Amino acid sequence: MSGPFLQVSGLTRSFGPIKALDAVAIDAAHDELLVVLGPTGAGKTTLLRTIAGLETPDAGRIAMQGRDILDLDPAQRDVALVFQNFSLYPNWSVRKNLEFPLKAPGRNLDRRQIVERVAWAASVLRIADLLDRDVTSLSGGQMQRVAIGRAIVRKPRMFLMDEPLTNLDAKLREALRVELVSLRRSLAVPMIFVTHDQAEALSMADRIAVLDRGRILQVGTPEQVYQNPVSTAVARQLGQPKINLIRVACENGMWIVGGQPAFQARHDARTARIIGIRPENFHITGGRHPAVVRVVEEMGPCRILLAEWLGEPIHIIAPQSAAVRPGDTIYPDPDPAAVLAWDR
Amino acid sequence: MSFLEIRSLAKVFPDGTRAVKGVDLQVQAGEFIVLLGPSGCGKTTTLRMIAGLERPSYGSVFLDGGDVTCLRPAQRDIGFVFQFYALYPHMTVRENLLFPLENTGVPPDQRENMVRTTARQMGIGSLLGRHPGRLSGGDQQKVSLARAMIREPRLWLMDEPLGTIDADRRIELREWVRERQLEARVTTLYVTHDQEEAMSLADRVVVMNDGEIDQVGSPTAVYDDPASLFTADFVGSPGMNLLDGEIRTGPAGSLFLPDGSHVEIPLAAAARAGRAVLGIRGEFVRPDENGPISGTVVMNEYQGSFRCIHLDIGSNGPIVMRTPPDCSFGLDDRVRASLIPEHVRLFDPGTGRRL
Repeated sequence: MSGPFLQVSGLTRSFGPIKALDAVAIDAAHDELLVVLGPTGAGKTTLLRTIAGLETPDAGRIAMQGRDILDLDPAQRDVALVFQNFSLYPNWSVRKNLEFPLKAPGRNLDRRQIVERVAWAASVLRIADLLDRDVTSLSGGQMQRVAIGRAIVRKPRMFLMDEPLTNLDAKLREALRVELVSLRRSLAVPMIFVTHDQAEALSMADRIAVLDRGRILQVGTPEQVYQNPVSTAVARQLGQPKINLIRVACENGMWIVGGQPAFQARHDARTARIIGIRPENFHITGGRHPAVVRVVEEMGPCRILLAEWLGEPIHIIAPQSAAVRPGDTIYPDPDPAAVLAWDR
Repeated sequence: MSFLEIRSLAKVFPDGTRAVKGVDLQVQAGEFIVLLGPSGCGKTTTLRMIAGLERPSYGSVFLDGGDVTCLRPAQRDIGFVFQFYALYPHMTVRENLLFPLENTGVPPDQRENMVRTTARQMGIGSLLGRHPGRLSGGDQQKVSLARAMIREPRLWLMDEPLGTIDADRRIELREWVRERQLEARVTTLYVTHDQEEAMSLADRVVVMNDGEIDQVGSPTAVYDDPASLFTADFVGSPGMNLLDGEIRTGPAGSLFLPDGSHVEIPLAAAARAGRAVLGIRGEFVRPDENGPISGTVVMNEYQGSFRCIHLDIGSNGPIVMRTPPDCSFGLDDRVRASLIPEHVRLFDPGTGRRL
């Protein structure tokens, strides 16, 4: 089949004076996990709900497999939506929750097919031993597995996931994101996964669409958006700790920071007014200017330093072997090839 | 005697729940201690007993040489920092910060000075004349923390103070808490379930599990040298790779044989033959054409400054290898790897403790 599976163009939706979606254009391939990354209020949930048919856009077009779907109701679109807060029927067993979407009018599955589908979904998500439990007796992680099971059981054309891991604790989140990626891959169904968590986006996505205040700022592979953000707004959304953004001027081939020559400028970026240096792109010795270390944070494989450099607070990721303590003076040396630059 | 000493502290709730099962801890003056563990491990109950908000069923708390076990909270000279702090909306930031200094020994003419100094250190000096309702959520949170930390009592006790903060602002605020503590040198106990927060803040981490202390050590010690399988898995993101298997010992030294594979992993030191769990951090699993481990890439997690490559090696769960970001392994690639022997940790599968 030619063309992307999902094509969204010019999608606009306002709530009063607020443009939740402002001419959004994205597409998703037939076998792709597209992550939409953005802060609270960026329009992520509105975008998913509009694709699912739960919201009507003011303008724009949504096509699936080349066919316009805006005139279809949610059931006809045949997409599965998984929410952050599980949305299961309480006081029902896991089995009954999984069977429910298969008994919807128009599904026409017989009893045997329903049993088979439920058994399949339960085995894929490793919840077979929970089938007869009441969902209210389950842990958060088990409930979210059931919610995902309810989405896959009817074999939809597409998955839409609205921060499904956000309410889970850190260990479970890590485990489930790995599971979700392999599950989607084995089912070969396209997925749009919405999150505000940059680690989730980087680790799970085939491509990331960065959304802010209703606008798509950049779409690309995780490597592209992390290494070559088109704007400071995108650069700030990826990476933890955040990228160091520093106002500069360029004189005689040097970046000027706070009135003094700081270090060699990138020759192709002399008009830049703001530069970005990721915390991992510093050596802590060899630079021209001293920095006083304010805080040292152990991270296991590395440590994060907060230091005052050229009058700016900066974050540096240093190896665990770096013996640095608060109050120490270091000489940060940025890797010139990794310095990002923007005109504004 | 240490500045703060907890001896055999235990708490049994009326319903019979043994929340804390005899905890001993010695804290030096000025230390930043983090109590880390999953929900229900007893960390908050321990903190509340130190605060005087919960009466111990057994054991005692000594502060600065005196037994405070039976003192009321107000008599202990302790400052609390909780998850939610209501600011007074009708007061300016300055008035909100002055409030905790009333009814303290601080002379009124010095209070203004303390407010200005603390506000400047905490980066909210320009907000003093504003009302809380006019501030952004992040600034409100800073003012709340500043109000909780303006006074310098004998102890600061903090119960997940950053629990409700967006991941985005968390690093900034935890650094800010740490900087204030380093400056004031107030002995601090901080409770969290977030291992990253614990590692980043603590002088020493107290790992708790099921009402007991599992390990006390510097962040580096609990990360590099976990005393148990519990700590090995709980600390670190991801946790330590753990492989079930068997140690065999021969004339050439000791080998570890993971279950369900034909791999032989040489061990750095002689170890006693028998069942064991081998633990290794992802950064000490290295791609190595001649390495003993062979696996298929099942997941490649890009994280910007590094990658986690998951290798399926058979019946043990996948091994996670932490690599530089430019590592180019693709899905389904066969990869050989070796473990750096001096970073291998061995555990007793029965007791879960280090061998």
